[in-house]
Amino acid sequence: MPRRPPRGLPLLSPLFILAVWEALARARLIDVRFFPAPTAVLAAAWGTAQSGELWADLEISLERIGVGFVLGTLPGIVLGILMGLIPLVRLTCMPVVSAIYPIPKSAILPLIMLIFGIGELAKWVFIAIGVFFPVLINAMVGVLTIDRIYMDVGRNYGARGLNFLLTIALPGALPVIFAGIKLGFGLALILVVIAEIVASRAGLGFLIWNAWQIFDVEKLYSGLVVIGILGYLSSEAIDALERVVVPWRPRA
Amino acid sequence: MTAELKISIRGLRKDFATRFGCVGALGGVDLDVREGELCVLVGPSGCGKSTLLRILAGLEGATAGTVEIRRSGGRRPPTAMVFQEPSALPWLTVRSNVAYGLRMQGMDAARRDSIAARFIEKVGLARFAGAYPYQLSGGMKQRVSVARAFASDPEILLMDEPFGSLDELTRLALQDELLWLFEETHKTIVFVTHSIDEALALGDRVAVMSPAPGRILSTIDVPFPRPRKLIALRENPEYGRHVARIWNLLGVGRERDAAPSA
Repeated sequence: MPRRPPRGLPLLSPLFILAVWEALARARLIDVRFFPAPTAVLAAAWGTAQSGELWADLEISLERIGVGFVLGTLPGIVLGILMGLIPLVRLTCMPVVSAIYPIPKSAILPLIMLIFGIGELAKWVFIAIGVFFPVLINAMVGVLTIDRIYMDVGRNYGARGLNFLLTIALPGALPVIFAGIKLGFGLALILVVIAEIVASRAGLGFLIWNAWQIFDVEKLYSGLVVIGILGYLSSEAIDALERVVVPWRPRA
Repeated sequence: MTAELKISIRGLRKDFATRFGCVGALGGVDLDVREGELCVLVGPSGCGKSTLLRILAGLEGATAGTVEIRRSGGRRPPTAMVFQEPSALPWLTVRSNVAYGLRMQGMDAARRDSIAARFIEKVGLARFAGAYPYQLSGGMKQRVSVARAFASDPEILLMDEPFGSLDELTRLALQDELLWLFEETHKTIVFVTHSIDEALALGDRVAVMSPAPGRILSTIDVPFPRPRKLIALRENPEYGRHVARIWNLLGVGRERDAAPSA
């Protein structure tokens, strides 16, 4: 039987890369104007954290992600389930979805700003649209792939309308919906940064863009690191939520 | 028997449209089932037994003919079905699965949980009431489906080869449990199987069906008294005679007597 690898193993390779990077930077073997030493990035991050700048930017970005995410996810789940359950709704909506979904979301940002201005509302709408589509499509596919036998059980035991939706369609589609939510959250991170680079004076995207403009490379890196950590923690949080909401699936 | 008619099926036909044209699944079925009777349908694969059950369950419409299920009033649902494949809802615990039918009838949580608990106890799953189906064996999952069907207290119970995919020993155990659930509750049951053995062990009456498009060739009264013991049954000389009779009706072994036609 193979021995279980030690718990800390996944940390080893990034730490090794950081150590090599640090050594190379200190020995001036790489250009620190472009690749500042990790400790220098850490110091810069510490500085922005101490001044409160980092937390303010993080907070505003999190708020935009949170509001946009909820605005996109909830209608995505509802419409996606209805499209999965009712052929008429599916046949009516699918052409529109197929036409709009492939447009790069960054391409519609100018239009959104035209309609909703450059305030918070435009950012929420922008992120919501990005999150909406993967959640919608996964919810639809989730319903369509529910084993027919469970549909039969629901119908045979008299589940109709909202009862059917809540006891058969939604739980049956949830595992696939969660895959859509993970995709959607990744998109939300991308879109919030795009929106903040283009049209904002605050947020992590602005922090990065601003650092580039004043050539504060350490601060630029620290912004990237914070977004990386945010992405990691949010995916862990979604996984934890999935374990609570979908407790019926065997897990490795 | 003087019991009242519970199910009355007249001239029931079902055609399916396929790529190869119209295929007849049921070719005019007439069948009466009495209140409190366990009626078994046996027939060759593809003779439309399952289609007949699905029509009774309201999961499919008929092409022609009528089905009447005499209602006894109240909120009781007309049917509850036990399917051949595992059909315990994966997202509900054993307890919630068994209570599912009652929940759909609008019964409050406390009452349906106490009824569910009783039936979970009867099928021997008390220790697993809080478990999810993925944690159960095939036989246990099927017990959940049986308990769910009985707990929802329908006018009639429909069972579509419920033990067909289980191993021999588990099947015997579940047949035994079904026997005493039936003998205790006296529900009206229509039970589909392709096992002659199972048909005789469980049924009050066996309806033998023809190959598709299915019709009822003959119905045979099963004379064994209840409560039945599965083992004692097989020692009864009448048992073998009935097996042979149903075999004959189904035409098993006939290929050897006559030249094959196809």
